[in-house]
Amino acid sequence: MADFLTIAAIVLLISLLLGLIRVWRGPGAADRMLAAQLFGTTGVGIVLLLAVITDNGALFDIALVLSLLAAVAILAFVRRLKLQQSAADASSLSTKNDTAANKKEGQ
Amino acid sequence: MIAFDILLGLGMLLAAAGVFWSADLFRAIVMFVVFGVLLALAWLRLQAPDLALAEAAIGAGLTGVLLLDTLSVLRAKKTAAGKLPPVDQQLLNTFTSTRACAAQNNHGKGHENLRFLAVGLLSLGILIALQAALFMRPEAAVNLPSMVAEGIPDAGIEHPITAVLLNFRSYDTLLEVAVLLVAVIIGLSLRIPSNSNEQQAPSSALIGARQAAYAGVISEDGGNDPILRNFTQRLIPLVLVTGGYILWAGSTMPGGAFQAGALIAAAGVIARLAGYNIASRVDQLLRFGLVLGFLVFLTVAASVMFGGRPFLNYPDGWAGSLIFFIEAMLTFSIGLTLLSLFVHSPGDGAEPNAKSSQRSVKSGSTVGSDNGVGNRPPGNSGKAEADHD
Repeated sequence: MADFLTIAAIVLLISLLLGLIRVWRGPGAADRMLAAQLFGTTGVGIVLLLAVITDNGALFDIALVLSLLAAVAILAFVRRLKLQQSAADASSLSTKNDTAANKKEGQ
Repeated sequence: MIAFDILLGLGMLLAAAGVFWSADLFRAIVMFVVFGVLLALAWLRLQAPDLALAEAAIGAGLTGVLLLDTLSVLRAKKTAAGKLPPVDQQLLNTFTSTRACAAQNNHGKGHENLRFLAVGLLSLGILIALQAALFMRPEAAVNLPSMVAEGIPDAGIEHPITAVLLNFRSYDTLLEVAVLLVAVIIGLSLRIPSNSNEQQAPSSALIGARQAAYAGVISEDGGNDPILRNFTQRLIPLVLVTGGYILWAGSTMPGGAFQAGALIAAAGVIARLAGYNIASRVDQLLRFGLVLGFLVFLTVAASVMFGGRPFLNYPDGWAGSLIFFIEAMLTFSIGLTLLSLFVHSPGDGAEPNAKSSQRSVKSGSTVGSDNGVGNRPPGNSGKAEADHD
């Protein structure tokens, strides 16, 4: 059983490493932020698996804290950066430049 | 399990490299948050659940928020680039256009490579020295873990980490709390000039937006968004209850004042981001609340001297309850400290600014706010938006 759980933890970790590629390549800010959310959720899963594998009940608290606070970053992203960005986009200037810069940045 | 550890180490290296290699600041921040989650997992694998808990609360949660906030301020400043003092301008340039500069200096390529080589060799040397130190370390003269294990029955608290932090080495923790207090006082005093500048700025729309944002308990924006409202209404109580639980759990398992304080601060940050007007209430509580933890700690530490005991030596049988009392007060102060660093950061002022400029766009007029999103010089826009996604 422990072997099976270990393999499950490794599979989850591999999915996190694949998430790193999405954080790096983007292309959009939202893609990167959602990949970070994947890290939060999958991280909780891995912590829970480790808690069962090592039979350490204290680790459940860490999963609890991680799951509650993973949501804070995306709140900050949506409320601060997005508000500002939509204000910038609405200012009619440089919409084309934005998309051009995005393409450049996505490489 | 060894495969898990190798993959985890690899992932941490990749994430760390991503933080440093990314010219786009937003990508670097996301990489940093991601690195925080991996680091928490690494602490778990190293059997340090206390550190994992702190990393999960602070590294993966609050630091990311503070960095995103900083980025939004930098962007707002950059879009108003013409109005910046030269020093800020320089700072922004170094932050945002290092890649562009490197591409322009093509003739400096060889120089660049040489520098990479020197830094690489230096890092390799440090790595080898560290490895050597690790393998050739002498036997420890004092076995600290066994000393802690012996002292636990008298410590008044079961969890060894909390016992060390608040009983055996409470002097360190007391000074740590003092350092935190000094840090937040400096942070608060730094905010005053920018605040008065904003008040001097004669932009009625900005002030109007601010008043509108601060008028109700909940600002119009946050109140109208059902997803945000429902989400935060369910999340905040959960975070607060968990904070109390983590504080309580600190006496028997990983937890304690710092982690609980981080959770309390996170609840405040969520409320602030959702548009609840907590700033004014925090201001009233602030001066008292910030010093409360340190004052209680110092009072307890000093008052035992009346009984003829040394400084910070808890009376027999009272250690457990005194430690919990100190921890509860510390949780409050630490939570307030972290929260006030967020609430009084320039980014918090940037939100009403963004609203005011949105409004000005709607009404078709430009506002002379210090944000200046609405009236950016067109020639500069391509470069200014280079790191926008």
